[in-house]
Amino acid sequence: MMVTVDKILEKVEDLPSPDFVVQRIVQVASNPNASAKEVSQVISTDPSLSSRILKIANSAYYGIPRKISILSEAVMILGFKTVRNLALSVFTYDRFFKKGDEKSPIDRKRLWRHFVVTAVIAETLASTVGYPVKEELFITGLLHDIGKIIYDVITPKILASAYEVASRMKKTFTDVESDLGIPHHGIIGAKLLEKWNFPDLIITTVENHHNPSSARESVYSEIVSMVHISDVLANLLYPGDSLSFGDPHLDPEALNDISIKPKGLLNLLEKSKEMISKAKELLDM
Amino acid sequence: MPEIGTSSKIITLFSSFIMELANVKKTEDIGEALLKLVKKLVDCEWILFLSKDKEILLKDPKDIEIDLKKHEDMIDWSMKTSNSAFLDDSDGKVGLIPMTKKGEAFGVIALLIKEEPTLEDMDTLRVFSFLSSVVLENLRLYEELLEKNKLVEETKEYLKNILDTFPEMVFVYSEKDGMVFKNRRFEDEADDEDLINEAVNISKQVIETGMRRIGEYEKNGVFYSITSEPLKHEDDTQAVTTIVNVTSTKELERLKELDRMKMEFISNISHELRTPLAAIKAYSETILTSLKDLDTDTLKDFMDTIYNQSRHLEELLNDLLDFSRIEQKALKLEKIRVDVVSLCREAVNSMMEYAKSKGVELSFKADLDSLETLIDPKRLKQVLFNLISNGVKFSKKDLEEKYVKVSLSKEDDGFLIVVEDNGVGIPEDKKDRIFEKFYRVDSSLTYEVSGTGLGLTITKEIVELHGGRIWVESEVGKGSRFFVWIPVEKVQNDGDGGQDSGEG
Repeated sequence: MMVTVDKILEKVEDLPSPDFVVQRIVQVASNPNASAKEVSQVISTDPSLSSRILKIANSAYYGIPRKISILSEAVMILGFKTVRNLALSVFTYDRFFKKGDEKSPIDRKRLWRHFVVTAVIAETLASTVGYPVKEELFITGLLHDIGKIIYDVITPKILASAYEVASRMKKTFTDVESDLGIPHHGIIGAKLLEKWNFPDLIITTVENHHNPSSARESVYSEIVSMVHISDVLANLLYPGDSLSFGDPHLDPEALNDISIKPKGLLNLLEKSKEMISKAKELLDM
Repeated sequence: MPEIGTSSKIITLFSSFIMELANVKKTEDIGEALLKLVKKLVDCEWILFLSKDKEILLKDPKDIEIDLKKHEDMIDWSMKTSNSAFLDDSDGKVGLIPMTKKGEAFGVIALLIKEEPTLEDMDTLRVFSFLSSVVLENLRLYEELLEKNKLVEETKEYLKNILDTFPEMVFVYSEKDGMVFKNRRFEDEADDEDLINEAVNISKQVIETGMRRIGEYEKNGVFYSITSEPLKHEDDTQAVTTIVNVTSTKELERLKELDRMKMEFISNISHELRTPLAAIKAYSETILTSLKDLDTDTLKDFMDTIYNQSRHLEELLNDLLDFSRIEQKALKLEKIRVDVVSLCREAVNSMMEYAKSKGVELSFKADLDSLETLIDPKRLKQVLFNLISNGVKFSKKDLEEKYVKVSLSKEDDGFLIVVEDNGVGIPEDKKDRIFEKFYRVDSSLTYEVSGTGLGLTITKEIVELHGGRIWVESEVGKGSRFFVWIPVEKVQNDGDGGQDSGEG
C-alpha cells in the first residue's frame, strides 16, 4: 500500500482551496479592527450560508431568549468568532460530509458527530475552567480530526485499511497510523489548514491534539490540552465514531495543564451531554 | 502597523488595570477599576455595574437614570452562558459583559455605545471582565476568610472571658504541646510549683486513661481540689483541669463539727456533773432530816458516798480545769527527778480497787528496776489514770476475763508505757479522732460510759508537753493498746545531781 509520506502531503497540496466566502470570513474574523458589519456583509454574499447560520444561532444550543433575524445581530450577540465557527462548520460539512463516497467503508455521519461532539465538549470545558475565548475551543474541537476526512478524500484505500485494522484489532487510529507508517492525521489536517491560511492557533492545536506534551512550549498549550481531553471524552461517549477503537490515551499532563481533577472530568461529561442534546442543528446540518 | 498599535494599547490598559487592582481593598473597588478601564477602551455614554440580581451597584455618570427592563432576558442569558452581547437600542448599542468565573456569574457590566465595537474591543472587554472576576472572587474569598477569622477570634475571646471569670483555676494540658490554655485565675494564682506539678500529673493520667480524675493537694493548711476531664481536640487528647481552693470549705466543715461537738460536750458534762451532785445533795438531805434516826454505821456509809461523789466531782472539775488550761495554752509542767518505774507501779496500784470493782484485772510489768528522769509526776500519773480508767470503762461487759495490762520498758532514748485491754476496741476510722477534744467514739446520748470526753485530749497534751508521743493500735471487739513514749531527760543539771539513773 505503499504510498510515501511525501506523496500524501503532495496530494494535500492538490486539494482545492475553500470557497472565497469562507476564506474571507476567516480573514475578517482574524482582523482585530473588523466590525460586525463587515462580517455580515461577507456572509450575506452567500444567502444559503446566511440562513443556515441564523438557524443554528437560534437553536437550543445557544439558547438566546430572542429571535435573531439578521446576521449582524447574530454577530453582536454571539460574537464574531462564533459566527465564523458556524460558517466554518457549514462549510466543512458541505465540503466533506454532505455526500459520502460510496466506495468508502467509513460512516461519515458518525465521523461528523465526532467533530461536533468534540467541539461542544471543548467549548463546555472552556466555560468550566474559565477560559475566556471559548469560541476558539469550539472551532479547534470541530476541526481537530479533519486529517481523517482528508485521508478519505485523497487516499480512500489507505483509510479503509487503517479503519479495518483499527476496528479488528481494537486499536486506536493513531496507533494504527504508526503501525502502517503513514503520516499522523493531525499533521495532514494541519497541513491543509495551513494551506488554507487558517490561524496558527487552529493549526497548532490540530497538529498536536494527540500529543499535547509536544505543544507544551506553545502559547496555545492550554487549548491543545483542552482539545486533547475533549477528543478523549468524545471517544468515550461515542466509541468508534472517530474510526478509533480501543481505549483512548489520555495524557495526564493535559489534566495538570488546565488544573482539572478527575472529578471535574465527570462533571464536565455530564454538562457536555446536556449541551450535546441541544446541538441537534449542528449534528443534522 | 495597526497590529503593534493595538497590542501596545492593550498592554497600556493592562498595566493601568493591574495597578488599579493592586490597590484594591474592597470588592466595590474592582468594579470602579473595571468601569474606568472600559471607559478608556470604548467611548461609552454610560456604564453600569449590575449585581447578580441585576441591581445597579455602580454607575457612571452618577446621576443618570437607566431602565434595563427590556434587556433583562439578555442579561440573564449573558450571565448564564458567560457570553458578552451587544444589543440594538434606541440610542446606540447596549453592551453586556458578564463577570463570571468558571461559569459562575457575579454580575454584569452594561454600557451604551454609539458606535459598533470592533472584534478586538469585544474580545478585550471580555478578557478584562474575566480577569476582574477572578480578582473579585479571590478578594471576596479573602474578605470572607477575614470575616470568619474575626468571628473565630471574637468567639475565642468571648469564651476566654467567660473562663476568666471562673473562680476556679482552669488550664488545658496537651500531651504534645503542654499547657495550651490557662485562664486568668490560673495565671494569677497558680504560683505553687508543686501544686502545678500535681495538677499536670493528674492531667497526664487523664490523657492516658481517657477518664475523669479527681485529686487533692494540701500545703501549709491550704487545701486544693483538682478535677480533670479528657477533651478530644482534632487528633489530640487533652485534659481540662480545674483547681479549686477548698480550704475555706474544709475549715467551715471543721468548725461546724467542733461546734456540734461542743454542744454535745456541754449536755454531756452537765449530765456528768449532775450525777454526783444529785447524790451528794440527796445523801446530805437525808442526813440533815434524819440525823437522829441514823446509826453511826449508816451515817458513815452515807458520808463515804458523799465523800466519793465529791471526789468524782472534783476529778471532773479538774479535767475541765486542765482542758481550759490547754485551750489557753496555760498547762504547765512541774518537772522533778522521779523514778518512773515506781511511779507507774504506784499509779497502777491505786487503781486496783477501782478495776476490781468493775471486774477487770489490772496488772503491771516493768522490764527494768528503776529509771530516773525529769518529769511531772502528778501529770504522768494523770496520764496513767486516764488510760487505765478508759481501759476499764470500755471493757466488754459479757467477757469472762477482762483485763488491763500496763507495761513499762526502755525504748530508744525514752521509756514506753503500754496500756493494753481486751475491751470493745476502736473502729479504724475513729482512731485518729479519739485524741481530738470533745470527741467520743460513741457520740450517741446513751451515756453507757461516763466521762467528759476530755481525758484523751488532756493525756495527749501532757505527753506532748513532755516531748513524747501517744498512739493507739486497736481492733474492734478485740481490744486496744495505747502507747505512750516519753524521752528520758538527763538529771545532770538538776540541783542535787546524784548518780546517773540506772539503765534498764
